[in-house]
Amino acid sequence: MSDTSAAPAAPAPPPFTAAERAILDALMDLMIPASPDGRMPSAQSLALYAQTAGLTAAEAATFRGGLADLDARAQAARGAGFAALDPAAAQAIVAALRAERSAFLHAFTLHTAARYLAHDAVMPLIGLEPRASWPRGHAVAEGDWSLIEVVRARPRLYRAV
Amino acid sequence: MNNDPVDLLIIGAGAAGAAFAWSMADTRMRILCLEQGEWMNPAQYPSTGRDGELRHLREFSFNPNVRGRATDYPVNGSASPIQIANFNGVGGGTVLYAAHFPRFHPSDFRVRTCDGVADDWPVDYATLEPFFAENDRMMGVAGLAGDPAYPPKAVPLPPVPLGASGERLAAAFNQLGWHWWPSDSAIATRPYEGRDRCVNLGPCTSGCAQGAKGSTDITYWPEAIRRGVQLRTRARVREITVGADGMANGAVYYDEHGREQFQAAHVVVLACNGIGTPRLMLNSVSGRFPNGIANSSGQVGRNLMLHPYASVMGTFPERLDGQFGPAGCCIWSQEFYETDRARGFVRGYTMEIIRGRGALTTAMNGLASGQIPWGPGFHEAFGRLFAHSAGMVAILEDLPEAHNRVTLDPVLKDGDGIPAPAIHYTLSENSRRMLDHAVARATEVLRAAGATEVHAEAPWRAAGWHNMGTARMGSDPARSVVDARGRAHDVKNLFIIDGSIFVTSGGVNPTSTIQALALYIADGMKRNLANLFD
Repeated sequence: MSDTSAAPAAPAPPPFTAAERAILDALMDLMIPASPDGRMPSAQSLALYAQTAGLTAAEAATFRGGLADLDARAQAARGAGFAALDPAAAQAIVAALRAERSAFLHAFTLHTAARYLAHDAVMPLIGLEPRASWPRGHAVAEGDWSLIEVVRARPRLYRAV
Repeated sequence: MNNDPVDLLIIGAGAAGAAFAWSMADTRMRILCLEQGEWMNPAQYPSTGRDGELRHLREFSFNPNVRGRATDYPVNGSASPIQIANFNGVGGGTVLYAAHFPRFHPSDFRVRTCDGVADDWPVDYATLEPFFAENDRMMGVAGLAGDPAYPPKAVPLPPVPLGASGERLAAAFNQLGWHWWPSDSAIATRPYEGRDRCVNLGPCTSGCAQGAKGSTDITYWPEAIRRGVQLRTRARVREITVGADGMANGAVYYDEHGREQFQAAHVVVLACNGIGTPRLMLNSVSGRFPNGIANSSGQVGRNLMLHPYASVMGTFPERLDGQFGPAGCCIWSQEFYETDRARGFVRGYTMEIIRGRGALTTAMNGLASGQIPWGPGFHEAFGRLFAHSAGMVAILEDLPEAHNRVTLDPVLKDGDGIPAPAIHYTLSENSRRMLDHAVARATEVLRAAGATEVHAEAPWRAAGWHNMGTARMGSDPARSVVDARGRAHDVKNLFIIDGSIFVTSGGVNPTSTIQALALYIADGMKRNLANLFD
């Protein structure tokens, strides 16, 4: 049997520019800021987009187009780049994107949540070991099988035909 | 490419094609299966990496339009509230299924007799029972004998663990006096036939890296190939061809390089699922069959049944850690399975407990539903849901309706230029009432279990896993496509063995019944080889 279930890993798209990173940082701070008690780090502080590995070329293009669009909207509405907006103004632009079912916003949300929740610094904080499931797997309790006896004693449920 | 004629050409290497090929290997005929997808490599399944959940939502998505692999074909689902889910590769849908393995019930084959709706099947539970049992053994089914919702049956392996979620819900079902039972699951809970035991990776639905889940690439196919069956991957069939005598004589397909090939065969067997099979039949147009092969009845593509799902999840104060363990397989309830007209609908549904959901799935579902906000509230809301959620899906019996159908999209095509399927589907009033009932009962049991919040999606848009009825069985050639032995009424050497031939859908996952039916059809062919074309 040949190993054909996945194509060879494609090279990562070119890294984001400093300007794109600034918009991404602002957006990450809007989505996942640090928790009020400081226990959970902000997404921005974890440098989740320091490199573009994990994005397909199409996703990277969606990101770049979306970031440029965000900046253009900010300029049109406030005369400033998105990264310079106050949180309320930035949230208003994000809300508009959400209402439009923006493909960029969906991709950004998915990748940001994925990178954040699988980060070494975050997994232990949400009760997970920082590792893949396989090969060690996980323990699951058998549970109380005595609960089934009352069901076993029930009369037949299925219809005779 | 060696396209020498074969005795038996099977198209599709999924649940049905694998079981059928394995059984027919007894005959020592020249058997070839063409599969548009590839062999999967379990070492590359998502649970082998930290980014597993992300990969499950992208290249391992149930939805072929999201997955977008070169081996997939697109599906136009714009005219359906339920999106088609499938997988194209050796093992087919069993690569990504949850491994739920319930059988249909005796009454599921006698819907007209029992309830005066739809049609009875031309085959019954008792006839299929030996094939259910053989299939359970081959797929390695875990469960517990003694379920009062079924006729007595043996189960090869002990059940999957209850876990915290299952125990809590089981106690709640008991409190309400409702039925529950450990799910029949094609999961090796002990080492079984060369498969290692389940180690509770969690996301069975993105492929099992452990090899504990019974997908047909690791159950039937290795044995079938060892017994001489040939399996050719990256072979996408465009059409079934017919000779001057009206018999099928082979298939035109595209190889992995996109080159057109022709494979001649004496018998052709379709196993492409309830969407792919009618698509192929409708694409197989000839002077003799201007509306698609074996479609003199006009029934090919019609009567599509999708099993509307209700997804109902509860939030619990204490940590349940339901992200571990077989995600979909735990316990089920068939309290509302058989018809009770006082409920306002006919037929019924199964509740299947979902242990919980992974971190990313929890976040994405919560963000989409509004349960998790952007901003400072993210952490509190996520922490309330993740590892604290458990719930269930309700699988509703979907009755056949002629207007629910698969057609060929006039514009959309796959990578080889073959017209793609378009889905035309609406929920019936019976299904809407049943969905309302299922959400209410699920909420009731989740509250009894201690859920502080309950969130429902009904119908569950993404849940078009079960595609049935689009080339149904029957004795009347004017109202059905194949006979009781799976043979097309119009073409004596064309057989269909997948969920397309279901007459009704039951209220359970169909894989067990699809495979039992495939084994039954193979058995019939083997018994009647000398007179197969009479």
